Amino acid sequence: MTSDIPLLELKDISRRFTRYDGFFHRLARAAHVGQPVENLVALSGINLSVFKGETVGIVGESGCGKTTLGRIVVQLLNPSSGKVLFQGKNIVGMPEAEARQARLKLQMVFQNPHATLNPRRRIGDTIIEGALAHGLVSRKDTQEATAAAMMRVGLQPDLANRFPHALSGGQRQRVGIARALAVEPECVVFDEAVAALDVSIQAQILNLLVNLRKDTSFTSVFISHDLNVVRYISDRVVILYLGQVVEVAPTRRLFQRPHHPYSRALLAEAPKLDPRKREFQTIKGELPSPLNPPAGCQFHPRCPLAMDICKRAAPPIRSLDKDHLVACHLDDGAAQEAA
Amino acid sequence: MTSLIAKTLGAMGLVRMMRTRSPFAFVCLIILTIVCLMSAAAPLIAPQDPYDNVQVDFFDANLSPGSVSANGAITYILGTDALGRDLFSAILYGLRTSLTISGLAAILALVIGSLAGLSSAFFRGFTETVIMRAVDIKLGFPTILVALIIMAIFGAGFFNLVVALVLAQWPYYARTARSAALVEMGQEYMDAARCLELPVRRLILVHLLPNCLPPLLVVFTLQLAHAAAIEASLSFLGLGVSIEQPSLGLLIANGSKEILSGHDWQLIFPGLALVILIFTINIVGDRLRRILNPKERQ
Repeated sequence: MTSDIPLLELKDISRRFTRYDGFFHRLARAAHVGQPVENLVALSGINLSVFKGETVGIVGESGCGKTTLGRIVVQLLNPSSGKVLFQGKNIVGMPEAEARQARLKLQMVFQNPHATLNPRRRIGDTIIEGALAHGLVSRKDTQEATAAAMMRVGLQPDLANRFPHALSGGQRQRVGIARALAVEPECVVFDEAVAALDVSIQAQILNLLVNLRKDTSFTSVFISHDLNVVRYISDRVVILYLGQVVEVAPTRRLFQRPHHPYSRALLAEAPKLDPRKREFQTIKGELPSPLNPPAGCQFHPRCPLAMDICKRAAPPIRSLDKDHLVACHLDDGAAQEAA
Repeated sequence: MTSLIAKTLGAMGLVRMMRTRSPFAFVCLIILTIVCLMSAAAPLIAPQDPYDNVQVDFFDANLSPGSVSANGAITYILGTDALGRDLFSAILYGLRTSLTISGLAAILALVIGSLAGLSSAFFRGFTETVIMRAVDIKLGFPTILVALIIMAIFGAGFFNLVVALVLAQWPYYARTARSAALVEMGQEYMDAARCLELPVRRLILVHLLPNCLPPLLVVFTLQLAHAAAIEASLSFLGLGVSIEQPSLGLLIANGSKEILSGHDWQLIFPGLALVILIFTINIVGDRLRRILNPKERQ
């Protein structure tokens, strides 16, 4: 929030997944006899800015597109439409060498501590590999650099020669964080980075992240389904529902005065610090199928405050206040007219 | 250089682990090593060069095992064949040819097939389609038929045989490598490696390959044994190596003509040599697969 140009900006990002059809399906469709194309809209029209030094939390139910969004940010997936601007420049259009440098500055910490490390590499090699490959560390300084990177995330440097299977889940997650930080990224995306850990280990990792944040330039996007975790770690929170942003607000503001009925429902069912208990009893029904999303506001079939207009028109995202954006017809002009 | 030493030490560690984990496989490994060493040192340890007409005495033909040559110089411990050659020497020379051909072919096929399989899993799309359709086309024909066709076109000979075996065998490696690599590509560590913007070469060779290696190693041992068998079959059929480069298959072919004459040792001993070779390779390969899994290391 220190500079005006966001470090990272997503503009109107959409991502569809199309079922892969073989040659004959496509032929049949061309002859108007086959099944129609099925599009899964994972994300539509996402706008999001991440400023240097802040942590943005992204919250939503399973299947709402959180992970897809994270993978688009680090360019593991290309958006179907829209732009990802890094320091004001579109990554997709850059020349390859420049794009590689930009992508290197965007790192990710993954969800599953059992799959995130190459099982056949010693963890020291895993951590320092990226920095070595890009010449950030010279070959003769490798050991010191590895030790420093491990100390930074609270790992004993003498673990460097272990294989991942000899480490606990929390240690592996630390290795994953050390690997991402070793290439000196501008922004780190944490994709459910603590979801698979025990509560006590979660707390350790979160404290580690809080310590990292004391370094003012540390920027991150923190994806989670756990509101308590997000509340603890983020400056701003983005709430996603079925691939769309429904509310963006500074953390404190959101937790005090959520506006969108979905946010309210999420917060009302104050989650325990047990990631397995995730039943939102106050929200009726299931998440609709993203293959066939409801018309109008996508939340209207489950919304306790749904009005007529919600079934017809999708609410545009509007500014309630400085930094507080919401996509809901409640209290906006259109709803008043309809009423 | 240091990495070479480290790898040698690692291989010694593997042998030690094989000894403690599976004594049977360790015995097979020893037998295989002895067989390989003996075939490599054939010119030094064989009692005669069976393909040197000066040394071979035609009047010693069809002597049973344990006979002594007419001039008393050699004891034919495995007997002699219809031309009076020492069968023991012929088997050593034959093993040498068979091992060289099948080993060379299996290694080349492993390299080519694995790279093809890994790239198709890594790049997907058009690359994958081209490679995997080529594999399907090849696998539509029986291996021995493909090898036969190639040998029939290019003629018998050492080099042609290797090429034929490689062409016949690479698709097995490609399929195995692809299926293993597809699983690994879905793992988060591959995404993490891609995030680190490592070169493609490194992604495939350093990250993907080692994790796909165990099934490839098993296929390698099976295919090595299979290559030895195909080589023997082709030589048996007269399409393998030329007469001056004896192989086990050729010896078995010659021995089979003699079986009705009561000279059964001329078939049994070369056959036994082939069985020992193939059997020990298979056992060693299978145990190696288990040991190579880092989760089972201590």
